[in-house]
Amino acid sequence: MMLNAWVLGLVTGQTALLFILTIATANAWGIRKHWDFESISEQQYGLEKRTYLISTIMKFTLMTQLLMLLLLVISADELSRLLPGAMCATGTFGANAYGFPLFWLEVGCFFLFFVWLVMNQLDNKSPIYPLIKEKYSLLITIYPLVGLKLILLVLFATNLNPGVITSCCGSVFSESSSSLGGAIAGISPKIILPIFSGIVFVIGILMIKETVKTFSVSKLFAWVEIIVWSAFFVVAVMTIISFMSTYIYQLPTHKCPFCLLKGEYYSIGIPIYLGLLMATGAGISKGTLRCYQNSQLLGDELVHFHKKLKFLALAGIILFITFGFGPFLLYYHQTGLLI
Amino acid sequence: MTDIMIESIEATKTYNPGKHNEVTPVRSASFQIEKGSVAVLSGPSGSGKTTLLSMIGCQVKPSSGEIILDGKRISKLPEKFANEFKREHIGFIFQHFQLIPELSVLDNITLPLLPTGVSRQARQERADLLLSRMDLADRKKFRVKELSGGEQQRVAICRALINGCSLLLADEPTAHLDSQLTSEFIQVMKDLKELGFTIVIASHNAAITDSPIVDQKIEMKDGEILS
Repeated sequence: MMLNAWVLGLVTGQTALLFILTIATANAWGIRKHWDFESISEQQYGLEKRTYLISTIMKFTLMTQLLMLLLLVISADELSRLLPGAMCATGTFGANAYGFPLFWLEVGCFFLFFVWLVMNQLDNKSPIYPLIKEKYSLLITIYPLVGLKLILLVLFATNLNPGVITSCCGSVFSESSSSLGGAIAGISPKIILPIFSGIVFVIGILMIKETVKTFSVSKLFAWVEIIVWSAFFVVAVMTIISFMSTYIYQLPTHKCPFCLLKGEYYSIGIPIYLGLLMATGAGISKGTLRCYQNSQLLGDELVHFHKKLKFLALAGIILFITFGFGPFLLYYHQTGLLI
Repeated sequence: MTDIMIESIEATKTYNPGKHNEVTPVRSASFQIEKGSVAVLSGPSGSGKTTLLSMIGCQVKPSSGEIILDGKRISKLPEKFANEFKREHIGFIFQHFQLIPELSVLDNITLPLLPTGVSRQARQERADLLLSRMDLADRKKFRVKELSGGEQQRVAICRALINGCSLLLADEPTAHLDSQLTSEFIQVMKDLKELGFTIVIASHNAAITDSPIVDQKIEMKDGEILS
């Protein structure tokens, strides 16, 4: 399958990213090691020039990489046509042991890229590079993950065998399936809805708390925020599978989280996932920035950025809830029944 | 509040470092220029005057050392911030005026304000004030190419001052002027000095370097400051 156009596109994109990231990481290492903003030496001026170049290249590279997640899912959906048994991206990812780890790693990288871009943007707003060491440390952390992503992608693609029958989303996300997908699909709305509401409530409380107490809350609060937003993502995905999908497909047995993206369901998955990724990315970034709230160097810009991220997270949640619960409300309004 | 407008600390500029065509036009330049004074960078052609002036004007970053303008470490500023600083605090007069001949005097003068968000009315008001100060009010709507050399020079000065700067940098401003126009230029600089401007002129014209308006002479040779 390595010569398939979709696979070639993905591998080329990942290889290009790894190549650029290798150069950037090597430079990031040097910048972190020798950076001394107070110095007026030739070396320091050289580093300042290099950081401008590196951060600009990485900004545009990672912005395009945010779309890589979408490309991976679309590719998997297209590849499902070549795999017997597969009906959508679920079947393709489940065709071998590397598919879902690759997908989840891509999701993880999406959020890391998101946080890096936010940090970079904030750093560039100041004339004194206040987050330079932090943002390059994050870049160095991202590097091995991108390498692993390429390895998994190649393993995934080379192990896709059109001669082997794979499972369709109907069986993977079946309540009778013993897989994780099956277990999630089997969760009763009476359990998942209170959990989802609870976590949205907690997020609401956190937002109100920071509004009331302005920006000066403890560093522990930052970690709480990162954990809560990560949990929100997990719970939201579970809610999509176990509850929302039922009313979008209007079938109690179809729980696939990928089929939502298909045109036959009006691609409703796009606003749902866009809202989810936007809210989670902004929320995690918001928590991360809070770790630097005591930095005098960032000044008002940090507060300003935090407000922007809060707005983005709120808009993401509203988008997610509107399109995620809209079909349920519509169905209930039209039939007066629950599935 | 410091009385020092410009401080250069061991400022060095090297182009193409480590390559076969490496050049160091300015080496370890250290000096101070007081606020409200007129300083002249003098020296023969190729002595590094323009490069030093460019470093003061945030156009070129030093390779090492530092330039401090009015207490601000401008050579440490990232490009975006350096450009903002330059736009708001420094006025430039170039050797060939660098005016746009097809545009009117008013358009040439207000051009630097276009990216700053200053309203059209405010731009015009500022320009009118400068034009009347430079006796150019009746030339406002003329195209620059219709003006004499002396008038063009005064338009270039108006354009340099339009941003409300307090530091004026001039690179060989009289290189293409006759003695009459040079005297006029010196008179304008004298007037600006009295208004409190700090002026740095890179020139090897004796009429400028020996002029009584000059408070400080920084002589350069082969990239180094002699005095």
